[in-house]
Amino acid sequence: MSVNILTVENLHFCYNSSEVISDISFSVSRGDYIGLVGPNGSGKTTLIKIILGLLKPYRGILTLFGDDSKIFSQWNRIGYLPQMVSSMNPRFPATVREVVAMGLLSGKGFPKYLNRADRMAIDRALELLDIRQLKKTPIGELSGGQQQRVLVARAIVNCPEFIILDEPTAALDPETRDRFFALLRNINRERQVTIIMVTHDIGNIGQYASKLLYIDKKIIFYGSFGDFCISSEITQFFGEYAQHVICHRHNSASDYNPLRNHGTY
Amino acid sequence: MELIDFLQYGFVQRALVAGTFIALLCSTLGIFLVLRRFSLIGDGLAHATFGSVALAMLLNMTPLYVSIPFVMACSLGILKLTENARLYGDAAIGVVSSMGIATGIILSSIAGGFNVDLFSYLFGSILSISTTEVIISTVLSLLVILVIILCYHELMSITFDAESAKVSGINTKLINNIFVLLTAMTVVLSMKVVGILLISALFIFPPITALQIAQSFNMMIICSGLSAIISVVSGIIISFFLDLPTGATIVVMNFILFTAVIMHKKLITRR
Repeated sequence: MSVNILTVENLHFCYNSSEVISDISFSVSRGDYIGLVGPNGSGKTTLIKIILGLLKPYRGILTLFGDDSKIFSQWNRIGYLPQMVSSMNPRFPATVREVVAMGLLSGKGFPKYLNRADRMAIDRALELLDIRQLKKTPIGELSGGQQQRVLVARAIVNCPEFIILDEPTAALDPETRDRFFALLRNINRERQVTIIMVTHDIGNIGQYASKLLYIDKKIIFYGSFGDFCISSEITQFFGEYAQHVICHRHNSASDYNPLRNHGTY
Repeated sequence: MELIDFLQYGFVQRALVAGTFIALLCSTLGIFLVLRRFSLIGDGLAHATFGSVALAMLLNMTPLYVSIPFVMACSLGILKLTENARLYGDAAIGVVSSMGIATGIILSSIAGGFNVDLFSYLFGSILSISTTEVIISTVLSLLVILVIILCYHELMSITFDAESAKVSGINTKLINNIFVLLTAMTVVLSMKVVGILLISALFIFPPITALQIAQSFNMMIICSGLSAIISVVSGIIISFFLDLPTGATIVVMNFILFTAVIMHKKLITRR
């Protein structure tokens, strides 16, 4: 039986008087890997900010792990990777270990302090991301790809059951991006971690995600990538040619396995 | 006069004790302010302090007792302006800062013009600090440092990425309120050290000096604290022997230390 992680019902959100989210309803089960896609200004980031409690919906119901979002407090069950590498302050004087440690705060009372088990959890997360050797390095001295891994380590160090990522591959080169997608797929498959990833890269996310949620203020499509490629709504929305190009990229790339090619993670 | 003789004076000992605690306080809070690009709040609140000191003198009260609640209210005002009136931080600071100065000028005018006391708060007079002021400064400094230690992880997390901190369940609103209140209290405590006009230097110079060399956040706190203490102590001593204004000398020492660290870093990079 599938366990419900997130339910969104008739969600509406407005910025001033313009509606950004209009009557969105969908649900996410344990182990789902959702690619949240759509054009600029379609409400993707707004939707995840509502899910994360950073914005209050104008109307609608949202439940997380069965609890109404208004009373939800188990934030240690959720990992979040914001779209921030490009805007991150490169002079922030924290080491990789100090940044990853921030991901452990949600499960702690007051005052917060780190114990031996926390330090071991940090080491494990860094090991998983293949950056343990960088743990004493200031985050500002790392490349964009390495910084992204540090932020992923921060998002997963608490072993969350549900991870939300906002355009995590925007600052990455193609090779690092493929490794990153493969890493997330492993976390999703081996640990049954539920993932929602906001991205513009429909072709690439199609290789990995179990479902695509295409929104443009309202839901245009929600289903598997295979169904996406034959969906008449999508043909109507994109045009036949664009739909073919996206799906063709997916098919031609599906034989490529970054895990096999790089042998890490 | 020898340095040993100088250190035996009661007023010098009081200045060194109060100065060291306040230096430590400003340098630690300054780290979070500088990294959040909010460092000019020190300047804005200092101007508000000017208004409160003028009010205290008009009412014939001890400035510290009027200034602490007044400047705390101003600090919350800045926060509310940025949150509710959707102003940028610098504009909100500008509103409170200009209102503080305007209030001070009007009140001192009503009181019959500026007097010597008001000038001592504008330019600082750490060598005239009383034993009671030292005790108050020390106790409040220890209190603020304790709160910073207890909220250290929350403050660091919010400074690095406020949105993620909120998602991880940290009450960012509460922590931000506590933080600006601590900053307000520190500004009031610092006005005797360097004066209202130069307070922001105590918040800005030590962190930016530490930022040049620190390789971790913990190291940043240590370097910033050391830089602040060296500047305050050397500033007090040098100003006495060269007969210079103490507050201004402390600021110049901060600048010299900052420049020296930058030059040292450049030399190491060249090698």
